Amino acid sequence: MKLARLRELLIGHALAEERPLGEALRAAGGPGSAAAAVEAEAGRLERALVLAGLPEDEAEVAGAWPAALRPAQERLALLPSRLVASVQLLQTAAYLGLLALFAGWALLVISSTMVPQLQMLGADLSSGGLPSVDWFGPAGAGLIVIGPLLMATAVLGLWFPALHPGSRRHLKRAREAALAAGLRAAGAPDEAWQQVRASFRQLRLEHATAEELDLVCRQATARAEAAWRRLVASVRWIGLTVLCGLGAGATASLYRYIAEMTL
Amino acid sequence: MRPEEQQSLLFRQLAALRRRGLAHHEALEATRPGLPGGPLRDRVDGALQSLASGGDPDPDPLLGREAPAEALARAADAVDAHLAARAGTATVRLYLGLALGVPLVVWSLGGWLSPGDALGELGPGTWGLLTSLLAAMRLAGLPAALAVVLVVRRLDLELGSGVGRIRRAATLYEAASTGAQPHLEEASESLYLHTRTQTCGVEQATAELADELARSGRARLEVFRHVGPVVGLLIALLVGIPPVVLLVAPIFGYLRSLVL
Repeated sequence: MKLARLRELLIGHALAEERPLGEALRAAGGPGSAAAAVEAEAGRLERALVLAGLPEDEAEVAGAWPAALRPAQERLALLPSRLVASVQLLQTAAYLGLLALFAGWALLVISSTMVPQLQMLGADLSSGGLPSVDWFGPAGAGLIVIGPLLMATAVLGLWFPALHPGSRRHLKRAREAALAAGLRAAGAPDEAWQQVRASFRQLRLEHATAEELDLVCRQATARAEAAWRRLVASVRWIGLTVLCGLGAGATASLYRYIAEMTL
Repeated sequence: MRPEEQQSLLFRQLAALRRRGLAHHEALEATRPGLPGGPLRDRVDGALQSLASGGDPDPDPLLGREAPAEALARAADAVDAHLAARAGTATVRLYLGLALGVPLVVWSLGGWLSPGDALGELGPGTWGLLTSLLAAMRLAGLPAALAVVLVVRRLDLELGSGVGRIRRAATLYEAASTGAQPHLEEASESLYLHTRTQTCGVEQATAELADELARSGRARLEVFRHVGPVVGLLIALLVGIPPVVLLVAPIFGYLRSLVL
């Protein structure tokens, strides 16, 4: 297990049990712990938590009401990993990329072996007016470029998993709801809520209970997952449609060429 | 339902009944009629007898004593984690077996299907080496694929799938449910356990650590389930494509002869 993650949990427990954070940070060790402990002992809790590696929104909530961090962490742990969502897209894009590579290779092979022979034969047999089959080569080369690009884009997507605006918005709302539910579950007063309200840009539920906020969190999570599923399905079907269209087009072109040539 | 799943369900039912205020033997008696005959039911019967006699020198470590609801819930978590780890290991073996076994089968098929005359037309050099290899794989390919599958079935590889974490979580859940001292592998985990034990006791601290290990292990396994097939397919393609190319290549020669 990563020390950073376990340290975050230890910080949450220390704040929930109202134990001195400086001591807990020194005991946990790791990079930035000493500096964070100094800040905590100076009373700058939010700054200490950021130095200890906590995300800014969690640090802000803990700064407003320290006991809220642990219940918020419990809820945040249940949110879907953005990496898991991204790898679904990576898988789909990788398969499509491979298919594109194969289709491109097949088109190039046909273009370099069959098409010249057919064109020679067509010039001998027909008086002209034969349909063009020159597009096989450029289309194959294009697919061979697009295939790896598609895979590279998906790999890049792993590092920028929130690029998809729909899921990003829903995940942000789920995260805000989890933090707000943590505040409510820890019995934070209205003053603490007012302190962090400006950070909850997607949430306007000042009087909601922890249970209601948990429900909002679950709904937003479900919507984010649905948005990802839609995106993955769209990429899959659009990609397959384009590739099938190209395959059908190539077959039809060859058939038409041979038919016109022999007539 | 598999015996382990039945066991997990029993522990969860017992935990729920204990939380509702039933005594341990009452909870056991309430769940007993729903159990199918077998080792688990025998275990429950034995635990009930042990609790009734009160003097069993070697009672069941979980069912034969007044186990609290938390201990029973953690025992259920341990069984679930063991099942998840087993499923994850099977996934890793499947992907690895396919990634290594399928190319060998393709090489073997390539060896049997490749027309020697057509290959000879392609010339010496690299093609010559490839055709020799294909000839060798005619006999060796399928046994090699079978050997690979048999070896992979016995391997206990993790390959970054998170199975190791889930398995460690299962061990920690077991320790937390029976009150045994957990065995930890990493310094950060020892530090966490040491720190938390001072405030909440070793069983709660162990269970918290197990929760975190299980959560991160399951997330990793989910990632592996999507990335693993892609990597396996790439390996299979890279290794298995030469014989496919050799098989396809003569077709173009045939087409050329038809046209010319």
